[in-house]
Amino acid sequence: MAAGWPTKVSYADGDVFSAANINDTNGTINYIDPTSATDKQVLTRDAASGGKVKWADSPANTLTATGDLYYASAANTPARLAIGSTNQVLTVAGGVPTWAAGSSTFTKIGSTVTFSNVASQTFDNVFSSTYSSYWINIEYIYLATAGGSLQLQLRYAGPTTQISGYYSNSFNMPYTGANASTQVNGGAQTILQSNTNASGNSIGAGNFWFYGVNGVSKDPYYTGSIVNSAAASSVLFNGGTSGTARTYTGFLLKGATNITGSVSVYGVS
Amino acid sequence: MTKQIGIYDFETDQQIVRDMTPEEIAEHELGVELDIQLQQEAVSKEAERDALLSKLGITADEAKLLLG
Repeated sequence: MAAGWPTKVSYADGDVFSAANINDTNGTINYIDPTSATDKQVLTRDAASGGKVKWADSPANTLTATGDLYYASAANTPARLAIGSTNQVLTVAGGVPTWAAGSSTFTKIGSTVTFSNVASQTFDNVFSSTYSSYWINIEYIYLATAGGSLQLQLRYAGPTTQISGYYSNSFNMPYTGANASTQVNGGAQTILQSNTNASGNSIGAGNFWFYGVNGVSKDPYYTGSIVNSAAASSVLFNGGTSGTARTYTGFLLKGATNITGSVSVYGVS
Repeated sequence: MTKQIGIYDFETDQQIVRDMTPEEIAEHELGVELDIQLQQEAVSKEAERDALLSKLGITADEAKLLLG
């Protein structure tokens, strides 16, 4: 067929119509076999073949999974970026978008742990190399009997509780009266708070940090503060160590009497 | 009453509460004993301070002023 618009196609008995009958050499129009496409492809202009049309991938058949993102891997080149993992953020590497761990993020680990009237509460399999440090948020905590201490121990593989060699100092600062420090020098546990409240109606809350529990063997550090409204005091938990280098995996809270509370753990990277 | 321990596993996100083993009870008692000891020391320090203030004939607030 000559170049230009086909103006007329005549059939005679026995004629077989083919792409060659309609494709023109100028690329003005060409025949595309619909059955040669894959599902959800679209027709697009093909500059490389003189402007004829061709089947090409569409967003619908490029984005094949939930969460996929559509982006250009090069100029005029659509591509798919699969969804990242939980808590990853979208960043740029090599000029294209990519998922990566967030920098300096605060990530809640697991669920908030609530416990009621137990002698001890463990938090196991929480420390790992994923985070460089951990923030422990005590939303509330109280003892069965007022006045006793709130104690901390570390846990390692087993899990086993570290029951010796703790060093710490917690500084109890009442709103009136003298301040007092509680020292632990190689003891069986660290004292977070020497005078813990007993009533669930009064706020006993605070937070502390763990450092050096990032999946490698270290003697970790911890520091924080707690407020005890029932005893009208605040406690500066001025830090301590376990005294023993280990790969610690978790921790344990306990009291002089049974404890009730709600605690969340956050990883910081 | 049997002492109980709450165990929260962050790998499974599950909390279980069970009776403490004899070994866990023994470990727990160490903490209780230490607590009693610390409280006795605090009471003892308080008594010593009160006795000293009484000897000096000043109040706790006046002592604070002296110590700056």
